[in-house]
Amino acid sequence: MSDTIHVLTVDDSASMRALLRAALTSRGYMVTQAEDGVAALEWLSDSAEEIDVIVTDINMPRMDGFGLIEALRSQVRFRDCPILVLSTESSDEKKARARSAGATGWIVKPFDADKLDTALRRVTH
Amino acid sequence: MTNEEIQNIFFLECEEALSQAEEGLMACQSGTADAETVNGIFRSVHSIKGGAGAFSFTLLQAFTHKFETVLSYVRDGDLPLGDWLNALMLRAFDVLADHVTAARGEGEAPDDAAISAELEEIAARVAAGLPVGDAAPQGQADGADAPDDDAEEKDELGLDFDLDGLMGDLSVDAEEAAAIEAAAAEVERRMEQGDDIAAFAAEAPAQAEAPAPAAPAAAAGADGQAAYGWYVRLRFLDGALANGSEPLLMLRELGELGGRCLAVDAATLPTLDALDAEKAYFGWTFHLPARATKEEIEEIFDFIGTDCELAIEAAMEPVGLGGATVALAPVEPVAVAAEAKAEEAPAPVAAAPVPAPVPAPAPAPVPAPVASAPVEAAPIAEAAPASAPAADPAPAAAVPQAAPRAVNAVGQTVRVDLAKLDRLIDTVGELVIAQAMMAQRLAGHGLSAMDEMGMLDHLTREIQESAMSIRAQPIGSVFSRVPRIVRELEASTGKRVELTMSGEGTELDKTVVERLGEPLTHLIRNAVDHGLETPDVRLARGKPAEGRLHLSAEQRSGRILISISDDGAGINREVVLKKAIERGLVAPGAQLSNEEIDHLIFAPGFSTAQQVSNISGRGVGMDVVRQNVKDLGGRISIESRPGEGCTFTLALPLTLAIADGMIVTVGDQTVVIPLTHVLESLRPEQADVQFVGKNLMVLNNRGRFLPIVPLDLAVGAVEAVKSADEAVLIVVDTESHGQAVLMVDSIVDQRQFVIKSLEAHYQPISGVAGATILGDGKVALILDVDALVADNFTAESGALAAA
Repeated sequence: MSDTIHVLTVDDSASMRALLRAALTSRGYMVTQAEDGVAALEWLSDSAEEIDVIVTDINMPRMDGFGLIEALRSQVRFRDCPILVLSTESSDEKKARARSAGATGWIVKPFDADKLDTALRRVTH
Repeated sequence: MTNEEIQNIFFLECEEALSQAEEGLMACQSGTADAETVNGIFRSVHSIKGGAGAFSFTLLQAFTHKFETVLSYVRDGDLPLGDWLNALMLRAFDVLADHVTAARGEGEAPDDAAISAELEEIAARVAAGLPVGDAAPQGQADGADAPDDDAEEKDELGLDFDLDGLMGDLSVDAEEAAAIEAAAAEVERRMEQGDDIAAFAAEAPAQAEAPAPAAPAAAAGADGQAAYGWYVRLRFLDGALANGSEPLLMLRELGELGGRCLAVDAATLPTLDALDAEKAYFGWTFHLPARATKEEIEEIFDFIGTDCELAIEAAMEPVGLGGATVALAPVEPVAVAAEAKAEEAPAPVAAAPVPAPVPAPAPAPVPAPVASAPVEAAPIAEAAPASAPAADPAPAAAVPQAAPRAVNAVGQTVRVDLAKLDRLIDTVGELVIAQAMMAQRLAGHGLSAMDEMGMLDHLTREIQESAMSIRAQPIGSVFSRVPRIVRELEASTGKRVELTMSGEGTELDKTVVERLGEPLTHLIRNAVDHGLETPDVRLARGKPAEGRLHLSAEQRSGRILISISDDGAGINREVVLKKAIERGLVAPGAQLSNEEIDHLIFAPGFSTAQQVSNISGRGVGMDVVRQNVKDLGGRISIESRPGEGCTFTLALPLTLAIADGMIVTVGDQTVVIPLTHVLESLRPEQADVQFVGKNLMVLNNRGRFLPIVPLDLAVGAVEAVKSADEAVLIVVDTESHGQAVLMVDSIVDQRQFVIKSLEAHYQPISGVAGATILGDGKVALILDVDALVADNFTAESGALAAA
């Protein structure tokens, strides 16, 4: 097993994906990206690669972040995979929903790349 | 990828989001919206907001936030859709579009004060449960309670912006480092002495509470700083673990901020048999150094929210470097021989395992005691909730790594640098030429019927078409701007327009699509401003009050036809002719066909507007439109039905890289005349050609005298036909001099040719638009007919008008 942390980012915005990719690859992460919850689940079920941590947006077409987290938590394989929410939202209500869906943490957009890095390293330990 | 490139992606996204939102808003207006429509609008605006924040477009972000808030109420059903709300959303949408344009640096930021106030007021009213919209009192925009809204708004936005600041500086100053080292040394020493975790876990029951923090807040500065640091008391509640939160991570974060555990309250810890691994039992007291701010501490527990009890108080006096105390509930049955020890060690013993400020020793020591000392292990398992997954077979880590796939992005599109694409298309163009050359050469050897040639021909064409299609874009991106233009026109003219569109999916070259916006906008404005009548006039004429405007696009025989038709008054030919005569564009008494009169509106400096409005009618519109269309290799035509309406049709090429041309010879030269200029070609009777003065020849073309340009002089050809009656005359249409005639020796062919820029390889030459490679491999110049004719008739034109 390598030390490289493999992150799956889920965001429907291409610019946000590009930002995440730029921020994370430059900090030594391996980055896989999906554009919504459905695409993320499809990739995860097709892929034999291990994902160390998932960073997901909330507002997305087809399947939103809550749905994705719930779907992942229902699978044994992802029961303990850290899932961080990356969203412009910051309401307690949304956070509570993410929490009960099984999210590990919440980062508010716009994100600070170093802070995201710290959070990712912390949850992947 | 540079930041600028990412930013460009963002602007592309904005465009997509805007057109999606607009589509949704249109559906709202036409009453065909459902929940998903509104959700789609919300998502579009939301995604713009996300990017705006990421790229620090603060004005755009602030506005999207307000718009989004209102949209969220619509989505949640707190605001019912209706005419009033539709109109508001459309106005907000227009301002949003302007904000995006401004963020791109292509315009001034719009004045959004009024619409912002309105959006805020509505949001405030909905939040307060007050009636909104038609039911609400008039004058929302002047917002008596606006100040409150503003304050609220700032707070909310502040959350987003402060985060960068909250990142803080995790570096440790020398003094702290020394203290941490000392603490670490102490931990080590005690560990060595066998004072391990199991031992201290068994320490005296109900031991000293944490040093009671006195009078909170007094020592805390106004800026969330505390001179002696902070006491943090927290207790995770039952939901904390069940919800997937990671208390251990938070404790670790406290450690990263320099936190030390002062006391652990394990009073509620049940006996092992009653222990629920999914519940949290400990209360913690930490001390954090002064360099941590209250916000930083709160931030750690932000996400866990109500699943933990948290109290942060400023310390009133220096807090020494001591170990932690552990308070246990009286454990009767299985008490390990620890009582004596408790007596011996009144001072707090051992550092807590988790928040140690030294680099992450955290869960490592935990699993061992679990195995060796089941009884004492109970609290520890609790203390380090993350160890539960670690005890698992760790599925995430243990599954063997399969061959890594090269899948990095899940998506169906590829963004390609335009220059690369153009190079491909250029090369394909060369390929087509090379193929044609080879075919011609083989034909010269009697091998034209080779099967392989047919295949090659077919494949080349297919490659060319696919390459072209990569550059193709649906015209919908231009059409989608039209509804807004029409809305603005409705507002400024008081006319009512029912806009319909068809063929939005028709594809044409990206450059054509991009450059089509301006002429199309002019034509739409013209149609609404000049074509459609005001509602009362329309009603008086027996037409519906709402004027119809139809925009369509279709592909027909290798060209794209775009038409703009209205059911307005049509062109008033009497007025047009009168104006043209007034302006000296037409000689008085000239006999012009209806079609010719209609086309006069394209003449430079022509304007028929009775009143010069601020929309169109400045007289620069239509001739610019025609020039724009011509620059794109297209033509424009008018079909006017007085009293019934008018249709403008643009015929555009599918691509700018290829054009239709007439290949002609002049003496030893072969040149190409773009077909867009050619009206007709003829062999004149001797009597049709007359001399004006000593040099100028004119052609009497059905009663109109057109100047003849001998092409041999213009292109420097030798041994060309000198006598007009032996030559071929080509009547062309030009921008500056109307119709003219080009004299050539013969017409060789009429076909598509690939345009090569001469400017890029040599230098611009007046009268030459570019070059192409002919089937035989020779280079032929493509004529710039407008410039060529203009160059020839700078002096003679006056004489011509008289003729």
